Amino acid sequence: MNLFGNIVKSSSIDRSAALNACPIRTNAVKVEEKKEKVYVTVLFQRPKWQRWLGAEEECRRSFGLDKYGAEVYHACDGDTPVRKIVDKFARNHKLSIAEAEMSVSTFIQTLLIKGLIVMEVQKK
Amino acid sequence: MFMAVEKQIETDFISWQGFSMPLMREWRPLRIEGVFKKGSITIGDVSGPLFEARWLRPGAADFDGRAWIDSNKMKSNDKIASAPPRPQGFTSVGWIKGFEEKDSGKKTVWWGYSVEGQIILEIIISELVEPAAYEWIISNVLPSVKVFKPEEEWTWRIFSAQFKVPAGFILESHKLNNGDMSLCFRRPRKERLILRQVYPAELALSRRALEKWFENSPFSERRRFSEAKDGCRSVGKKDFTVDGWKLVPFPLGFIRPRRCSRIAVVDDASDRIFLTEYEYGKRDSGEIAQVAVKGMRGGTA
Repeated sequence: MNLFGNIVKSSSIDRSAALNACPIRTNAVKVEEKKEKVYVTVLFQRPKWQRWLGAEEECRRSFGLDKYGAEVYHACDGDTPVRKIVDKFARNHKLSIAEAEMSVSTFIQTLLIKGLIVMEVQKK
Repeated sequence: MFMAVEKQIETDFISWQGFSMPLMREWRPLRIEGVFKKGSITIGDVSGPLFEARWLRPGAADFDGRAWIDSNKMKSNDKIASAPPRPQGFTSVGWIKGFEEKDSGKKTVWWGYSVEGQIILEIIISELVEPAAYEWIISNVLPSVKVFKPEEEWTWRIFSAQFKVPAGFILESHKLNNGDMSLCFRRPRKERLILRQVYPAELALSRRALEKWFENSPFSERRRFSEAKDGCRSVGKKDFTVDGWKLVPFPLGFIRPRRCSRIAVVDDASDRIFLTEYEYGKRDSGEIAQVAVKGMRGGTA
């Protein structure tokens, strides 16, 4: 519900569509490996209120991914659906599909929020 | 998901409270309820529940399983079906199809009574699930249900964590978290066995040393662990063993202390940490802890 009491419909996708979606890595400024971790640097656009206070429009943000995070990040190539990433992760680490799905989907959500990936979803 | 029937279907299995059944790899337990004597477990996939398995342990030595099943079938006379699947170890079986309850759609209900397992199983399958999944349950799950006898070792398997528990131990509580599965068992004569698997081990050990994993038990208790001065203590890179006592907090520590054996092992093959804590009486030995760790090695997906 918005400020005026009107119901605002948010666009959401069902679970099946989410699992069939293909995540794609966004263009990173820099990707480097240091001490068994992968550091991904992306350009980040500051929110308006920060720019009004004099901050620059763009800045760089770096994220460190451990071995498991890097595996999922590198699997986001735009052609592999989430379902297949989950399946491969489960096989590599001897997990059940349910466990792998929970871990991978939570991590993909984090990558989305941080701007490291975007998702291509098939419309019905 | 089920259209390509010709493709080889990958399977897994679940083993809980003395019975086990095969599942498709994509299936998972959605809800677990109950205790040793009575409970239920719901199995489903990403789209929702597929079937529910309920267990009941009658207890009475003269319980008539055949009569119990027949009385349930009579509740829906015209739905009784012939040729119910008869898995090994079940003395009496029966089923009804197209059974409809208020607001819940048509169901197939299968019952089985096993004398050797001292258990009644009721498996309820919704007839609204995809036909291929329904057929797979009828032709693969039901005929392959297995029960464990009370006097033999039981296998417990949930998600990708597998445990083997000596005869007589009853599940008291469980904590099933992604990457941290724990089961707590009890046996008469004040024996308590906690089995825990933490994975992936590499990540877990980067956050906490192996021996520190015993410090945060998933099950709350009042007794505190106190290392025995004359007991065994061995700390290695991939294993940790310590003997001690579980004591009531000061100043009542002298009241009925229980011997306690703790073992932690890193299994490189599965990238898991296996932890066992076994409390036992003065007259017993702590061997069960080592047997339990070996039982965990054989599992995982």
